[in-house]
Amino acid sequence: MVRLLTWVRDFAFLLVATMTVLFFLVRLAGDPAIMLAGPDATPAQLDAVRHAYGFDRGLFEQYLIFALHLLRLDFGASLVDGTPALAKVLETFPASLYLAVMAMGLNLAVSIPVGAWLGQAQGGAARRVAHGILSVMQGFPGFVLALLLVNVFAVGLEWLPAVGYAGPASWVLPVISVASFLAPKLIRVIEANATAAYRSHYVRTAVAIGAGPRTILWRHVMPNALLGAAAVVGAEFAFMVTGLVVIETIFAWPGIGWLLVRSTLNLDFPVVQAIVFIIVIAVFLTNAATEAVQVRLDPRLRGPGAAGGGHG
Amino acid sequence: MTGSTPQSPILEIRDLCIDAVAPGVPARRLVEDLSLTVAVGEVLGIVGESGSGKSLSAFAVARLLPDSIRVSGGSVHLGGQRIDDLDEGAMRGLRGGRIGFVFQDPLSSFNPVRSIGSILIESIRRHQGLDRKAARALAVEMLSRMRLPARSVDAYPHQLSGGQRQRAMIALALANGPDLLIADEPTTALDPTIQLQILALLKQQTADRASILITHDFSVAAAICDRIAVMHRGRLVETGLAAALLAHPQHDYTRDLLRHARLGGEAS
Ligand SMILES: Nc1ncnc2c1ncn2[C@@H]1O[C@H](COP(=O)(O)OP(=O)(O)OP(=O)(O)O)[C@@H](O)[C@H]1O
Ligand SMILES: [Mg+2]
Repeated sequence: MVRLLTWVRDFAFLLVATMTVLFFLVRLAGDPAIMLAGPDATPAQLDAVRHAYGFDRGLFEQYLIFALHLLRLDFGASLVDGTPALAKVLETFPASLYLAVMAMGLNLAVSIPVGAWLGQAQGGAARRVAHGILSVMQGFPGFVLALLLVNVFAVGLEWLPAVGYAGPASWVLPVISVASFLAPKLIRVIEANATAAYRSHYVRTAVAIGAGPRTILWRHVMPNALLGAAAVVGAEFAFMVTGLVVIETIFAWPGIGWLLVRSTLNLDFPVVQAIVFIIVIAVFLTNAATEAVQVRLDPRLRGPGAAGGGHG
Repeated sequence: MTGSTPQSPILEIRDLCIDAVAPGVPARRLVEDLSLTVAVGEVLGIVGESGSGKSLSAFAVARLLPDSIRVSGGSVHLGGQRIDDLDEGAMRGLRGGRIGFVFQDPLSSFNPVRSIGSILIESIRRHQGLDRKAARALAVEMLSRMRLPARSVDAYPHQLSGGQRQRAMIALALANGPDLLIADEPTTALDPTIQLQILALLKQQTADRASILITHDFSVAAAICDRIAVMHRGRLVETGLAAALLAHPQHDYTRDLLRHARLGGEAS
């Protein structure tokens, strides 16, 4: 109960602080009236636009109005097309979430076995090659790989669509692009944790009770290795829900990253504010979920409990 | 075999050699021509300074050695059967089955994310083929035999005290009724008051099996060992009945060790 209250308090504080900072930041970015009235507008027309949208009021007054509307989850209408800003964001958010979930799924499906394999005894040519590939991938900017994939599979071979968001075929390249950006880091963390676990005393105990290599890997080593990786998975997921701006732009993926770029360029304040609002919530929920997973994986985070007691 | 033990030995180590191997450098001899026997009901103490090869020698019995350490000579017989040339699968059947281990640091020796019971149950099922329910019942019984409450079967290592963890470790070592119990400094990581309890508990479990207790503490060796083997730089210096060896050490090195132990004992 107390935990829930702290949680709600932190969440509320984070939201208020972010939205406040954002409100003043976007108003430093430029004058949306020019965008709204068009480049040829006369000063009188500009003033009329400013008055119509309330931009002529004092900044603090604008903030109060914004805050009051925020309480009702009313972010106003998009300056570009007049549709409600929040609805516009909620329309695009699922696309980003799908991309994040699918990329994370692929990331885990690759990183767990590869990290486990690399974490087992050292040496071997295959392992050295794998390390080389990982190093190259880690040094590779994500968008370069995405562009390469597009060039080879969409433009060159014409196997897959390069852009858009229609059916599984259009998901392949974006998902692979994002996952291959995430995987090297996760693989390295899992490998390092698994290597440490193999050297531990508890793995010696596992050997001493007759466990075979497979049991040792999956029942003794990996539970510990994944525990250390949970934080990385959480951080990677949080990174993705803040919008994969570059990837979504390259693939014209209609997610919030793509919307954020367009709205910022158009000085579409209401939409930018609604996007950030959703991102803050998504990141907060991601962090909470990460914590819950960590508590689930690590009994030490569940407190001392009452299983012992009695004899010294 | 040895005149002092009427019963035939359970464990017989003959001319054991252990090397450290690393790519690119010549093998380094760590244990040389070690021969030991342990009979049923007997507790053999292995004493010696740090680095003398006590742990390696004992772990080599079940090839429980790091990759960089290799047994390079000699033989090991358990219950009359040669075991040093067994393949890995057969050796796994002995580890935790006919050979039980108690390690020095019970906190780091239990997996932090696995309950005590899950490790016990894993070992029991592996070696006795029991179903989950029966294995759990046996795990609870083993723990209670070590005077741990039944609910400690679901406890995680961090939820137990140091003494409780070592009792659980002993329960694990004995879960499948081993012929040979190897305890490597089982009380070193514990409070002095708890050390005695743990030693007494161990002693109770040594009646119908062969036991090896590794220690650098002569008072521990004197308290529960029947025979003592003294190691120095990977070699066996001398071996004899505990009382005789402590009263009349034959070897200078043993005398030195004893003198240091007595000085240390007075100082503390
Ligand atoms: N993995 C290893 N690689 C190389 N040398 C090792 C390794 N493990 C142990 N040694 C060496 O083998 C020798 C014997 O080690 P061992 O652990 O058997 O000593 P010990 O008598 O048990 O000492 P202690 O009382 O400190 O536990 C030591 O000199 C040590 O440096
Ligand atoms: Mg040792």
